[in-house]
Amino acid sequence: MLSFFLRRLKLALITILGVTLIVFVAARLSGDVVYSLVGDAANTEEIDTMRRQLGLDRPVWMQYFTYVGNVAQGDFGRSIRYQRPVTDVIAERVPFTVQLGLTAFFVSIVLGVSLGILAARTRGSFVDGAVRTIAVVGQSMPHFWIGMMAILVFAVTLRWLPTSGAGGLSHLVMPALTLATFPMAAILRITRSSMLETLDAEYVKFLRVKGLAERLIVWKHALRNALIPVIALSGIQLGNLLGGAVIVETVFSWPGLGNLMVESIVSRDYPVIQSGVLMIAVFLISLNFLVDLIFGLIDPRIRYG
Amino acid sequence: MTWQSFRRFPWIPVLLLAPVVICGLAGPLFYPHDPTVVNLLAPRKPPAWLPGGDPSFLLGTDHFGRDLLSRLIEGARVTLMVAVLGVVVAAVIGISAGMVAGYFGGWIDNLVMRIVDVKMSIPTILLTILIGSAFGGGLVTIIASIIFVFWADYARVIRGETLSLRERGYVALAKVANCSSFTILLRHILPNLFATCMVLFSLQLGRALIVEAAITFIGLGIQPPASAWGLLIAEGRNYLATAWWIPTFAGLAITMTVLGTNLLGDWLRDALDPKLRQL
Repeated sequence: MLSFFLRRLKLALITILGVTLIVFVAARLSGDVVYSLVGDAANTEEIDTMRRQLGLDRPVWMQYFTYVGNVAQGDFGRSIRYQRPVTDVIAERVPFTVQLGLTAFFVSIVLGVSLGILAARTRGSFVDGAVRTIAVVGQSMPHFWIGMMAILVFAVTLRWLPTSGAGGLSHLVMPALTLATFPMAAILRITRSSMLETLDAEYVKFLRVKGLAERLIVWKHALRNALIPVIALSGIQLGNLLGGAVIVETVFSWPGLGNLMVESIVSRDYPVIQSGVLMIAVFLISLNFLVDLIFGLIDPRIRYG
Repeated sequence: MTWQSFRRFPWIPVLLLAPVVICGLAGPLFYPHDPTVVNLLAPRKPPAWLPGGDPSFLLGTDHFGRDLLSRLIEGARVTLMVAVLGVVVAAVIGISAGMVAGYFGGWIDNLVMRIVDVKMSIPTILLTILIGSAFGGGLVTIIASIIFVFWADYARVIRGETLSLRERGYVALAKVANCSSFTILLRHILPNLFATCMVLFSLQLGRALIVEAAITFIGLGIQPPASAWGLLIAEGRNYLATAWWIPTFAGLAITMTVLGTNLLGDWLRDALDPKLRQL
């Protein structure tokens, strides 16, 4: 187990280093930071001084190591727009994205798994067809369009829900459901196919021969095994949720991390974009690392695979 | 055509995609109006069947009085071109990288898979925002983003397939016959990857359309005055309460196309190789 742990840890650390490299290159390509800091009126001397202060006169590879060193110590630079450390600007937004993301994640798992089981149990029927149609159509609509259509129907026309912003539970309903559509459809499809496979397994046939109630077979025996690929997929979907949150938060003016990122494009606040991407990537890598470890603990085949 | 093959033909995806492809290829033949002509006397006219609608503007007009139907047809060309170009280049890069990684193994496999890991750890939209911050908005960003995002999926899947294909008897025989690695990859392995590549291409095309629209929506993709579906939705956002038809029809066009490619991908998967169900 220890060697498995160390192997996975090594992979995770290499991946994080790779992400810092990409972010660093993007930061260099996005233009000279000096100009955005000193302003248009600065003369060459001021620019040179600033450049030395920031260490931009040194070779690129040294700048990269300095950057990695700073990031490792939690120094992500300053936001150009807010003139405050990037970490502060981002930290304010995180709770909103966590609230939205977790709600959507919960909704997509509950709906996806239960509809998936329903479709598998009624295979070939009208219900199965309807559920599968919902899934395939749900995966074909862009998030931001679903969001806008929801605003049009429930906020503008029916006036049941607020159009945008954060507040009480009523503000959360539309963004969370919009964000949940895509992962729900994905989870639904995998639950259905995994459940169908499990219900076809020898041990399930034995349970049927034994005369066990179908309800018990499905919920007590088959579900446990059928959920393994669903759990693996859920990890991936959490990453997709964070990406989708960028779009959904923009549509509903939800003051989270994704909204901050899009605002930062408009105001050309590149340090915020780059650090935000880095932090989210590190979070997802750590999460996948943990999921891998848990899978390794549960299933020895993965450990030696 | 026998009744059997008639029934198995993927009618739904073909019917969904045919109008889009025809508009993309020969759009200018069908314009009811010139999609770029501004008519400030007729802004935000509702679709023809609603009160106040004008029969010559079937789906209504946008905020500059441009004919919405013509802009949708024009948008098909731009939207499809960007998605197809991006996915094709991504496929070429991803298939090559995946085959080389899977066939040779060792450090090159490690390198490719670590790059794939890095890509997988950054959510798609955030990766495109990062690319946008480096290159600015526009067509280059959008195509670069699609390539960056989608090559890794090809590389991962193709690598796995190549790993199992290289153990086959005919590859061993080709080696005995003194074929070069290049010949083996091109003549003996690549043709066997055809089914996988087609299925992936179809499924990714749909995803690429959504990514493209999303990038355009947040302002990093296709810029006005072009007509692209994502752009129409973004423009329509400001007129949601007064001119719902602008974003609605563009979104329907995207949904129809993506649904078509998704269903076509599913059909191809079942028709070409039922073992590919996990794709």
